[in-house]
Amino acid sequence: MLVHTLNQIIRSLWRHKSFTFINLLGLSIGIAAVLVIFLIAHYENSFDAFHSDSERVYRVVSKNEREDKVVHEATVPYPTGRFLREEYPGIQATQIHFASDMQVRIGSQAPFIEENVVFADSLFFNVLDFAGVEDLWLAGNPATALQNPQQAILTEHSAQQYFGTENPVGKLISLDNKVDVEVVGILKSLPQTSHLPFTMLVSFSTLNSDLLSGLDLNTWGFTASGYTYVRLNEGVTLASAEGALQAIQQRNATEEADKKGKLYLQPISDIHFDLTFEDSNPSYTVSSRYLTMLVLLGGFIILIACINYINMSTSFAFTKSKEVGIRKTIGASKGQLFFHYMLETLVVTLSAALLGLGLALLALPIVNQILDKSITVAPILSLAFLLGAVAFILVITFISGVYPALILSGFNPIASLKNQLAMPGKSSVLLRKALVVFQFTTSIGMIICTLVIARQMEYFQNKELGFNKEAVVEVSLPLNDSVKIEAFRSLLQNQTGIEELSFCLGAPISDNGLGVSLHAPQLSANTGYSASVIPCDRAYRDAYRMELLAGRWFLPSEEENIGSAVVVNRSLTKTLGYTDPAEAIGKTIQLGLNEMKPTIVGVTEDFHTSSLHDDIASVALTPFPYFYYAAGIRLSPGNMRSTLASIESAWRKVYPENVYQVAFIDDTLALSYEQETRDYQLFKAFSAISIFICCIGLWGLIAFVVVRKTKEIGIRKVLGATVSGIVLLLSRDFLKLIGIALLIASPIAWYFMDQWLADFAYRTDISWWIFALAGFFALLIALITISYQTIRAALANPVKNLRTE
Amino acid sequence: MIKLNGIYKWYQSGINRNFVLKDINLNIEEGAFISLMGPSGSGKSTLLNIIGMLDEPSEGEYLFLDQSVFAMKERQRKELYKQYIGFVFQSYHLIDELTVYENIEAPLLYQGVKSSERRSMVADMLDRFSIVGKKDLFPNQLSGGQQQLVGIVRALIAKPKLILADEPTGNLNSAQGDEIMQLFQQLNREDGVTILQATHSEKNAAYGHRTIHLLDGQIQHQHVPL
Repeated sequence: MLVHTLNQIIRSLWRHKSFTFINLLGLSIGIAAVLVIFLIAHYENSFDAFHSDSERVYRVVSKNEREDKVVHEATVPYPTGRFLREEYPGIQATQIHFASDMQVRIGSQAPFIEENVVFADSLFFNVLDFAGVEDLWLAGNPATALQNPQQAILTEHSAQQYFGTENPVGKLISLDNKVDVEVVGILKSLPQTSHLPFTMLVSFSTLNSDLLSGLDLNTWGFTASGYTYVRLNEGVTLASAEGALQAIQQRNATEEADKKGKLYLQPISDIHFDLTFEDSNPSYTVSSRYLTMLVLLGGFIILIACINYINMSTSFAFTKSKEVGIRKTIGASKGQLFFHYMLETLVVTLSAALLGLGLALLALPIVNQILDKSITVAPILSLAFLLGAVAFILVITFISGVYPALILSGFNPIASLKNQLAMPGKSSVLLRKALVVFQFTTSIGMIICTLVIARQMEYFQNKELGFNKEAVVEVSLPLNDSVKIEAFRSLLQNQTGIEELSFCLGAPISDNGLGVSLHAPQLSANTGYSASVIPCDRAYRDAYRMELLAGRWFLPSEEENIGSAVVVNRSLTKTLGYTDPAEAIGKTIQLGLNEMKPTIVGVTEDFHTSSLHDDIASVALTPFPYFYYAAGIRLSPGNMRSTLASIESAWRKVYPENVYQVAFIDDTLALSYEQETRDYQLFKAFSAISIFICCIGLWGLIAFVVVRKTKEIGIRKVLGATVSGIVLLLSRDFLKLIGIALLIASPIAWYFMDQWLADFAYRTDISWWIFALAGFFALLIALITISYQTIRAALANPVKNLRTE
Repeated sequence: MIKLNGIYKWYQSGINRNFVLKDINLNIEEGAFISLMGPSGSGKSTLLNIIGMLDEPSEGEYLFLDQSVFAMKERQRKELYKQYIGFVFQSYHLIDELTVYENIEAPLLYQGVKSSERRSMVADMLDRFSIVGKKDLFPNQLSGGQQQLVGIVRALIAKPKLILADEPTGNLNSAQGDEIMQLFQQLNREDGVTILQATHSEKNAAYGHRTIHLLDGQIQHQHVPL
């Protein structure tokens, strides 16, 4: 029986090729989208899942109250790990330093920049044991690997990159031209799903003040890139461990405000998803809301595809009614026919699943490229996935198949044999309309979201930042050496194509301020005010074309006399309590940088120190040459390429042993919106997919309408109807449905996008025309979809149509 | 075999009842060959459909082998139908996607007959009606007469006691029609199959033992042809 039914189903599907094709296309694209989303979600969810007993593994994080806001940071003072280890035997703690920008040189080869170097102490592998990675150690002794200074462990990948086919063990690597480390171990390449990516591990004891630009590792309060991870022994409670941290904090904090701060533990499984620490995480962070949104998107897309199937099948049911009648008269029961048509749906869904799998495999490399991830298809090879897939296919089959199968198996055999079922019932027409509205509501919703995201992206590009970012490049200086800086300056002095050359810590946007305490007579000492200091020279103003609201820039004499003068931004004057920036001129403040007490000589308009995610902070600009680690260079328009080349050659003369790093400020800025750019790409792709599936369904539906109305069209034409009148007659119903969909989709999309935009300190507004545009777009696409068939029907020879009736 | 007592069938339109069948009382013995005649719309098809359990009367009693058909549960009725009744239609109503072989086999599938048994039953029928050579053809590759032959074979495959034929020769030329009628006669005589056919043709009606004339849903008169 089963074989026979299958055989018949396949023949029937083959016979009605266009119907089958439309159904398969919609479902397989939907399934491919869901599969890709599953793989993305699986990838994100597998972060940090490879440590044993990971529920006992935590990261130490901090919470501090500053002014009127609470600051969360994942970085903690460097001695935290050591104190914990020495004083609390129930806690295994490892201290690391994450170096995101380290110059590596192998022998006499050209140096290069390595972005993920981790300095870790000998307990590193006790806490983060990577137990899920089989045969982790390819070479070296785990017990002694990080015990002594100047030891390094490479991953398989970096070992190959550095040394090719040679055996790396025992070889030397030079870091930042300051210290040589010896390779003592090699690890298998680690999963990319780690919040702490590294290409090289260096023993923590290698770190010295030279490598840390003169800063002392043993002082409390200095966090920079220090992270502490702990593994609680069995029986040790979270509360007791946090109590230990609190005691350490109280004992070591010196400033009043710091004592109010708190160290606490964050479960390792939360790290990848907790946006609170997004800014201080070594790798990117994904909100669980984002994942939920993705899964929702997938759900909607597959629903749209199922609805296509329902609509197509119920429309098509009337073509099949005669067959149902025959089967009933030769003895088929309702149950047998229901089974038959459910099986037909199962066959279509299964084929669509296979096609969808193929499509997903084709799409995955593109998705990886867009998202800059390395998502693999490995998860689909597991038994759990297989069972899930079977369940998923059954659910899809059920959703798509039940209604059409009920309709078909319920036909009255006599009426269907006499073809009296030509007109579908009122309730099924209503249902079909409701389903079409649902489809378009979802699609229009997605289009609106895409447009809003696009608007916000555009807003990022065009927002006044408070300085001019065009045609400025930033060149990093590897050493803070005044002799070399002067040499570099003199080489570029008479270079054509350079408008201005400034030495500084970084560009206004680079987030490269020194966070220091801010004191002034009118500020309460207990609150803990802070400001971001950007050390810079006199040329900074012209290099970045900063706007001054009041006062003036530094004088040459002030540049000589460090700590005498400061230019602040409008926010800082507000913190001080001045409504008019000019009032702040001449006032003295104290900054926690060499305890300097400079006088305010100028006030700039607020400018963005980081991306537009964040509010503008209090900023102080002051000459402080010990922190000049970058050159900001404004290029004159035209022939920039040759100017850039001469800058590079000058740089190489001054710093022959280092890696040249240069970036346009524009590009740097764009990087800080990477996540949004990806969201945008993803949304664009998914809304395109959903509108495409909708249109496939629309195409199918209009085909049936045209067939059903062939006679009516013929009569109307004979009576003198125009072609455009008939096209309108056929399209009107659908266009009305799209209008309804727009009305439903707009408030829902508005709500979600309002939430999304709330994450940005500076954001675009959602104007009415976005909804109008989305509606217009959907209408246009729908019209294009149906126009081919409606116009063809309207142009057909009426006499012929009437005769065939 | 079949007993109809006071069968009425009407369609309600507004407050009016449009009668399709009015007070039909009929007795059909096993082994009979009966022809139903009457103009279009006189209720022949409706009567066949009611006897064939595809339709229900608005009023009246129907006994099939002494069991009250419309007092039964749907499932029982379906069983009865599967076991005893075969339908033959004017427009053959073969399933386009199935070959001759599969069309004939289809009723057996719905009755849950085992595969080996099915094979021999279908082979017997193909043999008996000399259509072995056509078994792999699809309906649209056959002539009208051949299609109706397949339709009849399909109706016979489950060895029904009653064949209901709704103008079985309506779409055929007279030579083909004669062949089909001779086939019915043969089935009636040799296999004892009860046959009830609706027809417009006196000539075809004459193959039966008895002719019932319907007009406006009522039995006008019955006569036994000479």
